[in-house]
Amino acid sequence: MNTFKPKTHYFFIPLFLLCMLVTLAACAHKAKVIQVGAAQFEAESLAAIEKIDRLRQKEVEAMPLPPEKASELFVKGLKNSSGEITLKTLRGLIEPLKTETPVSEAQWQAFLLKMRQQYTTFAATFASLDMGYFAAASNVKKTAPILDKLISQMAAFAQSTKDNPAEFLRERSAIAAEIEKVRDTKPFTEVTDLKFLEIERRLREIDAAEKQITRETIEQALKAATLGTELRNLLMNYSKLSIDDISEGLSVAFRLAGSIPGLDISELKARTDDLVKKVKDDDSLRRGFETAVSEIQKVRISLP
Amino acid sequence: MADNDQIVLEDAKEAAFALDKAYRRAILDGDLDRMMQLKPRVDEAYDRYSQARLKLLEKGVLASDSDVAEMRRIRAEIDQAATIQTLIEGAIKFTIFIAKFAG
Repeated sequence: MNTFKPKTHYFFIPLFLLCMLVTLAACAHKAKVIQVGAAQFEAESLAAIEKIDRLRQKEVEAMPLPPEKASELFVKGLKNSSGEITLKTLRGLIEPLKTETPVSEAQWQAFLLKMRQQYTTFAATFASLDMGYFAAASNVKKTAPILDKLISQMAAFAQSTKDNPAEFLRERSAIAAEIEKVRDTKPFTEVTDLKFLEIERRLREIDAAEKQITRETIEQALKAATLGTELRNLLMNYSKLSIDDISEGLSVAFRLAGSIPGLDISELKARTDDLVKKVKDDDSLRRGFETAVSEIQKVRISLP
Repeated sequence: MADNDQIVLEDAKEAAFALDKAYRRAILDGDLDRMMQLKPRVDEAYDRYSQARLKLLEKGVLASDSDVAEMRRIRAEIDQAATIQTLIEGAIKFTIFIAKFAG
């Protein structure tokens, strides 16, 4: 029998639990922000990896010959040839501009897979943080050193692309061969001028496309790195609660507690709303509050 | 001063470009025999160039397989914490429910 205990004692039980709900709700809000941030970081990093992949492919791939040119080559090439017609010859006649790079392709695929896996695994780390936002607080900070590496990688990819901008080598070598052939055809006439002008137009197109893919790759890698830096700040501040977090947590906690039958919290809500406003508006109160919360956090983090 | 890997990249680029230009010239001339001679060398040169570009990128890679393993370990801890917290939250809500009868 508890009848000898003063009745006010029971008022403090829900009040205490409400405080716990406030802290939980504040952490829940931060957990959601981190989940969204990590997912964005993953998406932007994967997009940067795709850009790198596209850039390296464009450098060593060639546009196929137009059908009429391909047929011309087939007829002229066979008439000029004297060697044995092998399977290789037939493949060469059908797809003369297909680039075969088996060794580097396997290495690239392994590299791209490893990179995608790193960024995807990082984002997946926080998959259940929204359900364990309070109990998992001490784990969140542990991811920061790995995030630092992932950010640095994106910055390094941007730098490497800047130092070695894209050059569509197969397209450029085609242009060079055509220039030499036109130059070897003498005497020069008005047709020569027109041919050179056409080659110039194509070279400028290639140059613009190279610059564009280089710029887009650098921008995407830097965008991912910047997002990563913002995410890092969120991770480092995850276990610290500010008045804004508490204010956010209060509104959630009151909503939760208000849904419990028989628990009248309207007066308490009005009083705490007023208190939060005063703390927010007064610098010295705010500083005092932050110090007090920081002490509570120290105790919380030290708990197993 | 450019490092060794940078020099390798530039050399591989020049070699691939020169061979491919000769190959393209053979195409323009309809010289099938020469095309067949050059094609494997062109492919090999591009293979080397592509490897050189990859090597420069890989220099920027800092995270390792052990970091991936560490991320998975932290995730397991967070998952575990989520289970514990669900139980705690349930207990809090139950206590609030009981407290109103006690009051």
